Amino acid sequence: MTRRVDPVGAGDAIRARVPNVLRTYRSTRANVLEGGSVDPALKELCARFLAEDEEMAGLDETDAYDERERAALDWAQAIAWDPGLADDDLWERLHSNFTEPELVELGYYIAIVHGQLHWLRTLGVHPPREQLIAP
Amino acid sequence: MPRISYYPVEGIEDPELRAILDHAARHGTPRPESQAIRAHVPATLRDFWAQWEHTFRNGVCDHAIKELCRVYVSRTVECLYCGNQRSTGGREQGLVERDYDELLEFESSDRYDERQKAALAYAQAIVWSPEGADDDLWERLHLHFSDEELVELGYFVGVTFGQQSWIRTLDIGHHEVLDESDEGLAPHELRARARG
Repeated sequence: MTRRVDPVGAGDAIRARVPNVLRTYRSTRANVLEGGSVDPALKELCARFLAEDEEMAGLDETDAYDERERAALDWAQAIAWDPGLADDDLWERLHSNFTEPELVELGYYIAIVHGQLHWLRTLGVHPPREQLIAP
Repeated sequence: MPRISYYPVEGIEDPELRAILDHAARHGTPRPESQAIRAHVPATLRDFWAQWEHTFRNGVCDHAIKELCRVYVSRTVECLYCGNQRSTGGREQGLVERDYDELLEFESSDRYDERQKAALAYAQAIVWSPEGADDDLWERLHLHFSDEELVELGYFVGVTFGQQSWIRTLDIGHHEVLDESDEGLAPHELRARARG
């Protein structure tokens, strides 16, 4: 059957109770989460990692990710779980693989998605994989 | 030294971005250093301003409750840069420095009323145990807050939790950018500065 109109996700349905919250988040989604200069596939990979997607290869699997992906995922791990991992070695890898504007966009992206996933989980909402890039 | 350089914000001419940075320099929370990092990407600087304006400084839930939750998050994720800032709006709504002293022991403290404790328990669940937000917690929350307040408060805690988790990896410090005012700094940060 031809798709008519997609329903909004559970996260947006909850945000919609406060129009300014939904309006603000939709702007974030358009301008930073789905927009911007960092490859959306890399953002989605970080979002799956933050959502603890069991189908993702582990970070210890050496051939699973290229250097750029590994640096981004290691930073996501540091932001979400252990800031001590953001050491000189990680920052050297981050600066080798990204420009400073890319690092700001990626870090900001990880921060927003990490926070929203945690909040949505308290509400019993687990966004499906296709919505993870901007949950 | 910050892990990402501060954008040379003195040279920014865009009036909207200039106003955001001037506000940070004069009023703090956020102070200019974190904004100077975001300034590398104008979309993130604008976005954070909008988040703060609509869900922290203003909104359906009272600002002082959100300020307590913001500093609770700072303390529990150990973001010293953020935890050493105080919202002037919170002060105007009656918060005093001692209100920040027992945030990590809020459940056993007699400093906070039941509404504040419920909000802090919500923040604690968002940060540490989202899956553990059980019927008891939601019963407490619905007793003290409307659905709209719970949406805004939870959304805001998510935003500040994420931003502080990111900022703590950046090694930024106070008085490093547009150091025009001490506004928005915690008293102990001011004392440390006075001691040099």
